[in-house]
Amino acid sequence: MDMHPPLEGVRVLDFSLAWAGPMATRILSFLGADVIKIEGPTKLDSWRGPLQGNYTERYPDHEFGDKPYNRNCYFNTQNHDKRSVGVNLKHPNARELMYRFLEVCNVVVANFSPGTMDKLGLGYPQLRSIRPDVIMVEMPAYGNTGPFSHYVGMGHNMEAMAGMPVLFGYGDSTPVLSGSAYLDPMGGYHAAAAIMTALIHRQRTGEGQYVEVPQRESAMHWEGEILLDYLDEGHFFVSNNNASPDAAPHDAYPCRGTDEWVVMAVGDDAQFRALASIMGLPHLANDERFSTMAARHANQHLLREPISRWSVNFDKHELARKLQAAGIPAAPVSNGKDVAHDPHLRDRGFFADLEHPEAGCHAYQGLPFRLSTTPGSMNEPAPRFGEDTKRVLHELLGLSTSEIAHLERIGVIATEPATGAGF
Amino acid sequence: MTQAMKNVRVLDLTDSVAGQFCTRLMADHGADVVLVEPPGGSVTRSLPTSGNTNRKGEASSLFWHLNTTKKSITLDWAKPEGFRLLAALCHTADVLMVGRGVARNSLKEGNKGLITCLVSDFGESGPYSNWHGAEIVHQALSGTMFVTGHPDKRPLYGFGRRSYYACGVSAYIAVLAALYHRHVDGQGQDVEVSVFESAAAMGQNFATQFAYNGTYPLRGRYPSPLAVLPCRDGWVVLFALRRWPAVCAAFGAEELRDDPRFATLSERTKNWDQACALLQEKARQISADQLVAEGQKGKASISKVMDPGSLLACRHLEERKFWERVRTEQGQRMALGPVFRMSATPRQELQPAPSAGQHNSGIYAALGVTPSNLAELERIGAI
Repeated sequence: MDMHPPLEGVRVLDFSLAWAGPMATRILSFLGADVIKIEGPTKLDSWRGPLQGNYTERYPDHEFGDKPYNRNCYFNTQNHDKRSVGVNLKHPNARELMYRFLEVCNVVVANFSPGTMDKLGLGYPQLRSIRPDVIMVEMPAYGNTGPFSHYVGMGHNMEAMAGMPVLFGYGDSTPVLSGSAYLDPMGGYHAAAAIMTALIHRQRTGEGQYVEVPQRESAMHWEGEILLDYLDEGHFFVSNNNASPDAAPHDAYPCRGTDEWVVMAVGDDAQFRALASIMGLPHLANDERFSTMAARHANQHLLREPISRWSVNFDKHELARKLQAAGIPAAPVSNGKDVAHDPHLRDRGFFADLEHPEAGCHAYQGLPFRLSTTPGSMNEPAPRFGEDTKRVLHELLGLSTSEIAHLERIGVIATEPATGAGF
Repeated sequence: MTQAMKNVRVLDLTDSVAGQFCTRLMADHGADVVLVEPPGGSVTRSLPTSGNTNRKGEASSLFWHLNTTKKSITLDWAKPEGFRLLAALCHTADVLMVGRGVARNSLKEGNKGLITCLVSDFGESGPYSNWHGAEIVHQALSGTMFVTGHPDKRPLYGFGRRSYYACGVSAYIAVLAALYHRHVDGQGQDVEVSVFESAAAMGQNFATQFAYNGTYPLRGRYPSPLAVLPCRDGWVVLFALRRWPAVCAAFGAEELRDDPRFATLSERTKNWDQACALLQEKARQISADQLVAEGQKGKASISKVMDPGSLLACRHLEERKFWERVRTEQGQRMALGPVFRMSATPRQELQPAPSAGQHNSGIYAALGVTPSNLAELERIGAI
């Protein structure tokens, strides 16, 4: 095994906040890059939560603690293996300091709205004039150009603008939003892909560049065939009550307990015969309402009751295993506790135990990339706010103790959030 | 202008949405991608999408979307003659993408720089390694399905094949990391990405929240003020974390601006159902476009719920030239604009997706296969 991770030598200056950007830079740090996260003392990363704490379910044992912003599981999950440097980017002297970072950082990532970095004097033309081979990646929701480029929006806004909420629902024409900000991790993956592509090019040629990841447009690729089918055929399939063009029956069925479900996707006649058999209702397989795929697609609503009457007697994990053993794609609908205990994820080492000095020791979700000789890794917990400010300025930028003290005194840098900081 | 992955040679044996989306991104950026299909054609040519039949004589939308700018050969590598040809192709390849059941080790012989990548539902080890995959399965296991939908109704998996696309992008990231490392010492390695883990990694911190305090989010209780509201002619999504005054102005509900029930974020979150009912009343008279235009003026996070029709007609996407026309033998066909836009190495001009085995004669001839060999290989079903 090679002890050098793949992105050794890549150092990222990371201005991103919340989920999409931090997930992208977390992917880079997982793969060995050194990620320096710039955090504003007057406006915290929203995923650290407000200064005094909010949503107690994000904190260890529901306790805000002395510094809630260092104990938020949202921030701590998406920002492991990064360094935190507190800089007030609006201070007139901040720009000069950020330019110094370009001596040691060769990738810059930001997910502000278009024009923000330029206004801060940190746009690509300025950065490139200081470091010609810099790679800069931004992730505007709707791109840097066009009539809506200035529109603000979080994950669910982009999801709506990508047309996803009309593609599924309960059959009453009401759009449904994902229960998570689904577009955010999509943006994280796409931005990481963009950065990797630019890194490959620079490695081969020495040339840096600017890359725009328009989050809504990149997300549309994951429904590309649906959009193109609409173009050809003038209509689109709506997954009502979990229906799918691929299989029938295809749905979630209630299991033993409250809000416990199993899903199954019966994809062909053989699987349906197997289902009928294990349900103890083999005659269903010969019932002409269900004996072919076309018939099952048309009549699967009639199967809901007999399947539910049967499934409700089982634990969802046990039933999923039983269905899988019979050749039917199936799974428990996992809640957060189920995910944490998932035997497959645990067996494959998907979680990493990280000891955080103010939040404690917990298992954190990982990433799907497996490389045989240069594996990625999760080593360090997420940084406390401004934890690395002085060390980075001293060790990486070569600033003296008095220079650092001066910057702190005049308010360019910080090692703690400012009183009354918002988010 | 050149492309970032120019001259990187990729063989794609995956026969899956995940693998083909990964190599689609590579082809976009100049890689020389050869899709290696079973003699009957890749299964992605015939997977149902809208549920209707495919365009007569042309690739399905799904196949087209996944495979523009690639070459295609047909090959049955389970046959010894087929495997020998595959091994010969691997001699000069940079990247070999496979699904399960392909003997990667023997294919790496003689090419120490080869990067192999296994793409599969659950990987080759672990309790679910023999499980059958499907989109609803991955959405269910990832934790995202549990929180999606109404609290008093069944959870919803969403639509389409998003987990597989997630795996495709993840595979792309991992392979490029291996390529980046290879520059150092010329050594390839084995990469692996599973659909399940790609989907699980998209979870909104569910497992960590559980680790922190034993709780997990339920369906229909998004922690921040978020709503889908019907308006006069459609729907809007409102995320009222900030800018409450701007929200009120857009909805013509100025009287709610200083209402103590909603003025601060924590009060607004607590009383969000009430706020939604009041805003919904107002929204009935206002068009979606107007609500969005007014709200965005004040930087409120409000957006229109689009659908495929409005996306195809969207003037923002039109100005950005997002809908591209690709010249084909039959005339032209639409494709989506770039996943990301690079200033120095933009995505290359898209070429049509290939027909099955379209490049058999050229590619096999380069391996020394004569036309009569080719006919014989076809006869025995190796090609």
